[in-house]
Amino acid sequence: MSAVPVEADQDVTLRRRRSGLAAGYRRPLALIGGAVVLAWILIAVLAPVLAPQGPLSVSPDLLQPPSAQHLFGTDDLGRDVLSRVIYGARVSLPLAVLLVALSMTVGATIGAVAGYFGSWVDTVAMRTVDLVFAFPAIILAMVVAAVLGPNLHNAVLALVVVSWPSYARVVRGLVMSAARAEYVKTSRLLGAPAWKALVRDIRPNVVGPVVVLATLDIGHAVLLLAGLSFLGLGAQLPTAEWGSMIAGSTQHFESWWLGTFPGIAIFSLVLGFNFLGDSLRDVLDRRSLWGSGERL
Amino acid sequence: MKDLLEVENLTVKVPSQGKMVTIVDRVNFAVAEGQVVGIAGESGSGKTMSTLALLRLLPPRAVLEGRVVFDGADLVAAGERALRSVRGRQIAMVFQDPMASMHPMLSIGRILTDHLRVHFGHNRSGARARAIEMLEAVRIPDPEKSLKAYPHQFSGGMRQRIAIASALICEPRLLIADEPTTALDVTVQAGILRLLDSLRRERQLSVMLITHDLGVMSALASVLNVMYAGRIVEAGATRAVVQNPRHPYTRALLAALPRSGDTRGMRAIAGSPPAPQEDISGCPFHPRCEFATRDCEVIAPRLTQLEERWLACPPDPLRIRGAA
Amino acid sequence: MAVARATSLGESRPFRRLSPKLVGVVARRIASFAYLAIGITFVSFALTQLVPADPALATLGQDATPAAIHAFHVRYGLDRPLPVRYGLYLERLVQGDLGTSQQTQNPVTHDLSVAIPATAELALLSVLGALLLGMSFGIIAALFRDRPLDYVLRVLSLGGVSVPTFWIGLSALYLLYFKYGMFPGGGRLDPTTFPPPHLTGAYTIDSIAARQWSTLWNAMHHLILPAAVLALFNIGVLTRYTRSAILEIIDQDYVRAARARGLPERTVIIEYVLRAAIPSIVTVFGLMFANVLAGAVLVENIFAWPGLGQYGYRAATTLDLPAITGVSLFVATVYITINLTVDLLNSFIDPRIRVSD
Repeated sequence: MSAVPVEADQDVTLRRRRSGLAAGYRRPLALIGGAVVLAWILIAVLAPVLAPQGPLSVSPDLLQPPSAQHLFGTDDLGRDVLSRVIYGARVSLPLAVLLVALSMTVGATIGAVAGYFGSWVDTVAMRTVDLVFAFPAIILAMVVAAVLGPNLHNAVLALVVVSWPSYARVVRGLVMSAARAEYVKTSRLLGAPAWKALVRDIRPNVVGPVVVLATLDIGHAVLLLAGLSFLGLGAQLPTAEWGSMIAGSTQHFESWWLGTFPGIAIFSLVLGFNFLGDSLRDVLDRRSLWGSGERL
Repeated sequence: MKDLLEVENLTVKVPSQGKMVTIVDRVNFAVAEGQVVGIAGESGSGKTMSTLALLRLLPPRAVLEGRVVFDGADLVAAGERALRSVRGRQIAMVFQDPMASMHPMLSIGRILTDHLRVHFGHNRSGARARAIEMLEAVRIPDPEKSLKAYPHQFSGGMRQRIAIASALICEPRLLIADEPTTALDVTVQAGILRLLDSLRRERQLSVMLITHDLGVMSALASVLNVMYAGRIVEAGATRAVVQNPRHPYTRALLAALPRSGDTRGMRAIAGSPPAPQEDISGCPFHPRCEFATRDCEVIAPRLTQLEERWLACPPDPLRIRGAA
Repeated sequence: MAVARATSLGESRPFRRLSPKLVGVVARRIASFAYLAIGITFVSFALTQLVPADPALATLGQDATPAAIHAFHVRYGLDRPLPVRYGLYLERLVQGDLGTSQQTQNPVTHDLSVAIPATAELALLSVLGALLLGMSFGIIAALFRDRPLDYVLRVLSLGGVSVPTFWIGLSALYLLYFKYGMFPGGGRLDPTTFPPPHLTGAYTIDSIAARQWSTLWNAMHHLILPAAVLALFNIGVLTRYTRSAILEIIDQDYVRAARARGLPERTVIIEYVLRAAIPSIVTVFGLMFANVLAGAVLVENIFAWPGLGQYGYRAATTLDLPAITGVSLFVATVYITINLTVDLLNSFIDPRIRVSD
């Protein structure tokens, strides 16, 4: 047959096209997404410089609509909404990244061990994964967060408990197919210890797809954290966090600026990550966890 | 006698990484009534694309140029309606992997009769009877039960027979067989070839046989076209080409075939065919050709007729005839 | 030679309908389901044991007397060892007793029976809408692959999954209720409208049964906005999922072979492409339900919808242990049942599993 260069269907395993990454840079979605994410990272880093006021500084101008002095208006304690939105990035972004990093680490470790050693280790791990999957994410997270006590750190913990199984499953699959590869078997035959095989031979093939997954997941993590905070189980007042700001806006429904701007912030950040991750995923693999709609 | 199928300057280009790449490059051949014409070549030579192009089954953004005259009408210029009346009805295809080309969720009966009913308007029982007839013709045991079965329940050889039955059920005039035996066990291959041959004779069927297997080619095809890098480099009567290959690529191809009693060992062709994106100046085979001259790097040879043979190699017969 | 004898394993046997493969698959799924069913009772129970605070104090107040606390403990069996408590818990479960909610003082089963139909109505409408829209968009995107329409749909679907559900819900309420008054502001019915006579608890079905058309209209009017908000995420997911499922299929040899036989494009798309996509759609159905159940917590909160989401949320925030257990258990049971159904359905749909080879 001839070389028809239509997108080959690649599964989440060993094959990757190097040139594909370069092609990715040409995609407008990836560029837009990357730009938005970068912008938010800068905003978070430069918050003290960019924000006109501190996130907690009250003023007597309560519930003012957007104006020249307060671009996003003020809230029920006279705090500048724009500043709070900017500082909100300092909460949402790092925590989301932390959440994903933790879930990925825990999940990948368990998945790798399960996939590599098989037998009862694998069974135990996978049965546990199944059990966690039996509960819709937010229900479980909500309960765990409530049980642990409502604050941001417990919210992150609760979400890690809920999120690690996805990584475990994916990594397990990747490790299992990588372990079956001939060159790995050969190196084991030649006497390499298990951990060496894992690290040197298998890891390079597994890292790529997992990183893509994680990138896609950060947007998801932002939504989850904001959602829990909205429910009162995450960030507590007076912390400037987007989800809890939106929760606060329900008390003053007519002051539309209270909820709209934090909402746009969340939306844009998540959208940026999703654009980025979507293009990345297109380049590397067609089917993924996220695409199949698991978890909220 | 006019040819059933005349292909003139058939060219297929597909988009790849921003550019249009030529997969099939100005290919010319013809198929007469009742004739078996073969196209041989390695993977990537463009042989499959050429045949897909005949029925315009190319990928969505491919570009097709040239003329494909079937029974007087140019299929390249034909409208959708006309094309659909030719597909499956006048020209039928059998693909390489019978499992992949049959819908796993449809019964054999559906696979055989869906297009029969579209082309001829049979009712269910009429189509069913016809399907049983065809299954008997290709020697599938228990045809009635087989109609209700699914592709995965059959062996590879059986599936290919069913595919052939499905192709011939509308009594086409031309059958295109793309690597019909490649996916099958060697023991089963002979049976399929024999079947194809007998069906061809019974129904005055013209056949286009695509394969890289020159053994299969010699068994069935009377005319042979050798393709390389999207072009035809040699064409002629199969027996003549196989016994006396003139193009260096054909010679190398034949030399690479293991033969009984061969003490020289396998002789692979060094190097690999050019990727379609590569722009080769001159003859596409020159990097791997043992007879290449400086001219070969610059002048692209055209397919010219030498007695009964068509050849795309610079006209210096002495050089080639003189070589071992 | 080999022509007449070109048979191999299997052809001579009659084609049986129920393959051992199918039986094996079904058995394994049911075993897995049983394991999960037991597992979730364990998890639900374990969750409640993690609460650091003494529920007695939470309910009775900080100045409760030790005697009152002790009585509370005895009443709720909190003074027995762990395995015994789990055993008691299971025993009650089997009898259908989920305990009494500390918040409402009603049996949890009663609370659930009121909350479930409300959420079920919402969930079903939402999933149906998402299926219809998501699949249509996905199919269109696939058929117009790489053309402008495809990109637009792709961006829209990414937008759909990026939008925070609670924010869009509030914004929708603000615009369509607060500002323009097109939709009601929450709840299942207008305060002036009486619910229809109880049949299922789902106001839409019940009003149809009682032929109370104005009530039906009112109920639907209240359903639309929350259902739409809930569906948004799933529409995004389903569009993307359907698109990629179809693109995978459309590149398959059997689709090309169908075209090569001269079948009209419409037949190829419907009978060959969509048919092959059915297993994927069935699979994602289960996942959509998970998304809806999760999203319901937020949506019910915003639209004051008295369903499972609200109940679970209140239970979690007040540490109402029986209620928490009850909701977790119920939701998880529904989820694994749906997954089981989906799995079994897929096994039946695919002839490669259903019929022997």
